Amino acid sequence: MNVANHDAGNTKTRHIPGEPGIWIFIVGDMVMFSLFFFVFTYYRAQDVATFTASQATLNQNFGAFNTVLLLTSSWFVVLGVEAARRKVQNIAQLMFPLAFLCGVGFGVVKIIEYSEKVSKGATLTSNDFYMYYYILTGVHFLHVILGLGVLIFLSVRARQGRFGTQDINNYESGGVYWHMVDLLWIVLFPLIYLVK
Amino acid sequence: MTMRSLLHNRVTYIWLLLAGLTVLTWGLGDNYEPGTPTGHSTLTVALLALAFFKVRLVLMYFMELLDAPWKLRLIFEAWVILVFGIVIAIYLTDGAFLNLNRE
Repeated sequence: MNVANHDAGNTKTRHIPGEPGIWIFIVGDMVMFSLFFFVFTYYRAQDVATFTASQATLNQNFGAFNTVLLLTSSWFVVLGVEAARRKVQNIAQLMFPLAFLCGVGFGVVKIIEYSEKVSKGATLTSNDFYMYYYILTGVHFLHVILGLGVLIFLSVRARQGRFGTQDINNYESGGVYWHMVDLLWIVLFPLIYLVK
Repeated sequence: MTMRSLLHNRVTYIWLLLAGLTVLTWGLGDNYEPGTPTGHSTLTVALLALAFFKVRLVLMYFMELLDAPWKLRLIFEAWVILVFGIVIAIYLTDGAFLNLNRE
């Protein structure tokens, strides 16, 4: 009994949010992106002139605004998960759709940005800078799209009022994945848009 | 639980700090003088340091690693320090740090 109580106490103070599997996925993804960061910084150093000139064509306002959108989206998810844990349905079912809308906003800005670049003739094959720009932001964008799917799923579950143990696990797993998408962009933004 | 009690939470302050630091990065990063091959931009190093500091805030507070078992937390603390260190080393040595150009 004492042991059980002790264990229960431990899980409460030292809690792993979500499924263990999601953390394995997150570590793998973050290792992959760290290699992207190294490769980008390395090839930039081999041709600083091209990278600086091409970087100057990017719109930093888009990049910064998108950082704020993802941060805000992440914050809504934290509040949504907390509301779900406390089984407060009206707040949980509001937060996940709000997080989703911020994510959609990120996507809209990204599509405007891409089409602006393409219309000016800057494509994947223009030079090394644009190649890395499209690959790095593109792979990140795929993560955003997957995340939007996750947020729809969590919004529906919250609306159905599902707050059992496994449901909380789902909210937490989806949440930490979405925060990872956020933190990768926090590095990509200065690395691609601002490093000189 | 009311909306007010939910918002009155440390993550709300962390979010405000993160948004504030993003605006700061935005202001500082706008049209500054680039570094030269011999003199790298101090501002670039500062902007990247700020970014990795923000990443750590997301990991510790949003992803709740501050309250997670230390082994899991350690993996991500190490990621932040290692990745920041390697990116800066590549930047400051113009790629020589990776030594890919073995001639």
